[in-house]
Amino acid sequence: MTLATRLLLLVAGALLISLLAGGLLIVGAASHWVQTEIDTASHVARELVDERLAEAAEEDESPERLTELLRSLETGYHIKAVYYADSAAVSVSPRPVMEPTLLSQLLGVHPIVEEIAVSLPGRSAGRVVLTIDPQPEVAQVERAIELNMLAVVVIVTVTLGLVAIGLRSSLRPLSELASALSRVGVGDFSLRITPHGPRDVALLGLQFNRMADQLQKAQARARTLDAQMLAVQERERRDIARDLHDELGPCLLAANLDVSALVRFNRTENRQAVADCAGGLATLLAHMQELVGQMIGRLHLMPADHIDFPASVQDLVAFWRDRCPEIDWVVNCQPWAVTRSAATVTALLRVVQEALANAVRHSSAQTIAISCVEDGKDLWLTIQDNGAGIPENGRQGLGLAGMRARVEALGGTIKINSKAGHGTTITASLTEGSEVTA
Amino acid sequence: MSMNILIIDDHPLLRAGLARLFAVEFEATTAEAPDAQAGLALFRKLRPDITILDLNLPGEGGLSLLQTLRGESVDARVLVLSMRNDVWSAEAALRLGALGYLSKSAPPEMILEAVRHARAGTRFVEPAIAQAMSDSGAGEPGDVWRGLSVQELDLLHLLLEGAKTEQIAATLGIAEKTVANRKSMLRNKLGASNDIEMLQSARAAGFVAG
Repeated sequence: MTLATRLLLLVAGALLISLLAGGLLIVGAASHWVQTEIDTASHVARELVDERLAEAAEEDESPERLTELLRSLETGYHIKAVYYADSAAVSVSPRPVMEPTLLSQLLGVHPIVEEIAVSLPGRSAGRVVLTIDPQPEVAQVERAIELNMLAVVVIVTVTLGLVAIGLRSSLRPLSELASALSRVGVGDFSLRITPHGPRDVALLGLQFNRMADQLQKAQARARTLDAQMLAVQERERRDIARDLHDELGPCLLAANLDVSALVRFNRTENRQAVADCAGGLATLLAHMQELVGQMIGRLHLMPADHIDFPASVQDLVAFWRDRCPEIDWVVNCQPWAVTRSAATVTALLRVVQEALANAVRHSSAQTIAISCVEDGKDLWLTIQDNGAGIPENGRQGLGLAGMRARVEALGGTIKINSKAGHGTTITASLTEGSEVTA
Repeated sequence: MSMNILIIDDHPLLRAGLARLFAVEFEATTAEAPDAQAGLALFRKLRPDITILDLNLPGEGGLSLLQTLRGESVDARVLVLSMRNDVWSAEAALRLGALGYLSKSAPPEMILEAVRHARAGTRFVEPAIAQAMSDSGAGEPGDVWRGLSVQELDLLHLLLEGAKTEQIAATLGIAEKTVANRKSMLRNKLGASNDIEMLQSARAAGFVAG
């Protein structure tokens, strides 16, 4: 059942109940009025008859006078007066008593019948029967009720009609809202509605628009983040592939060459050359081990809860220092006093990794400083360079957004201060209560 | 007669290994250069009997250095030793006058064999690559990849490595705009509508990063 139907039924029900109550009151009042009317009529008629009979007894009047009285009584439209001499009825009534109607039964009024014994001197005894009929009054009541009913029907019709019209126009914005919400339900957040209708309904429209805005923004953020994560992963994959290809490949060939040379030197019994060659091979193998270690470190294959953050930062710096010896590296990262969750350590390492890669690749910095300050459970990680700064066009936005997402996922905050030509400072803060327990 | 060998490769440990092996096998005198510029200078100074050349060099790429070396001296005997093992790099190197082509996954004996061939003035191509070249029909007329210039091959390899425009510009020493222009010309030549399509078809055709 729709809201409009329900409201209409409620209004109709209320009208019906008040109609019934009103009807009962009307019936009660009408019944009382009719009863009083006929009681009064009966009383007056009886008094008149009694008076006439008394006069007749004194003045020895002829019975004709009584008959005359009875006839005059009957000019009142609801009295029937009959004189019965002995047992024979002498009807003087020109009109019969009206048949009782449904309404008179409802009102509970009945004709009043009065018998008055007549004993005039010199005449046989008889009786006068007075019948007071309520029907004319009942007919009056009926006419009044008919008029009232007509008025009520008009009022009810007009009321229900107005309510229906009002509801339809008030509820139209709600049905628009419902169809808009169903679009949201299937993931389409683009729809906006024009708020109209009553103030509270219009407010719903405004709130819907705000909600859709937020959802759309959240969706866009999620999509961007997905793309960024993919881009970051792809870049890491490429970096690792390049290391394998550019570093490990030539190393393996060099080792192979050394083995061949070793076999040949061994034949010549040139011990010094054998020693040199074996030394070269050992250097190569050590270099390869280091390379593999670095690659594993960058893949984060180590169980996260065993990562020593300051040592890992040193490893990352060592990796870049090898490649960029011209940069002045400043690291201030003491061992932690507080043990932090694996998720925290991994996220912070990713921040350092990303920040260093950006600084080295894009900023042409001469100095890169990393500092990690601990105060109880609070932690501040800062990576600062004196390079070119992040360009306004935001081409490096991917990595920065990734960093932000990681730190915010831990409940921390990240601030990125950068001005073209004045370097970049990235500060990640994890303060009391901000760390998600993992 | 002692041999003069110039090794141009950016990897110091590999240069050292090659030098040791050439010394013991051929009693050769070796000189080493880490990039194209130093390599060209040493080539002019020493006029080596054989030049071992890597294709992935910082600065000017190996293929254009090969072109320069052959321009300096038509007798230059250049043996390319590269991580690239696709047939088109090999085809381009041989077209530009390299006397041999080996990938860095070739065994040492094969490298020595190639040097011997180079000394004798005969061509040597790593058998796996030679086989792939004849299978693929690389170098045959109508092969779209054959039409690529040295610069285009270098650009394609950098793109396959995932280098960004500014990195390519820095590596090749040209403006970013020039890189973008060359890239769009390369796309047109290969009939690709975008970079991804171009790189996918390059990978499908056997090009590898490096």
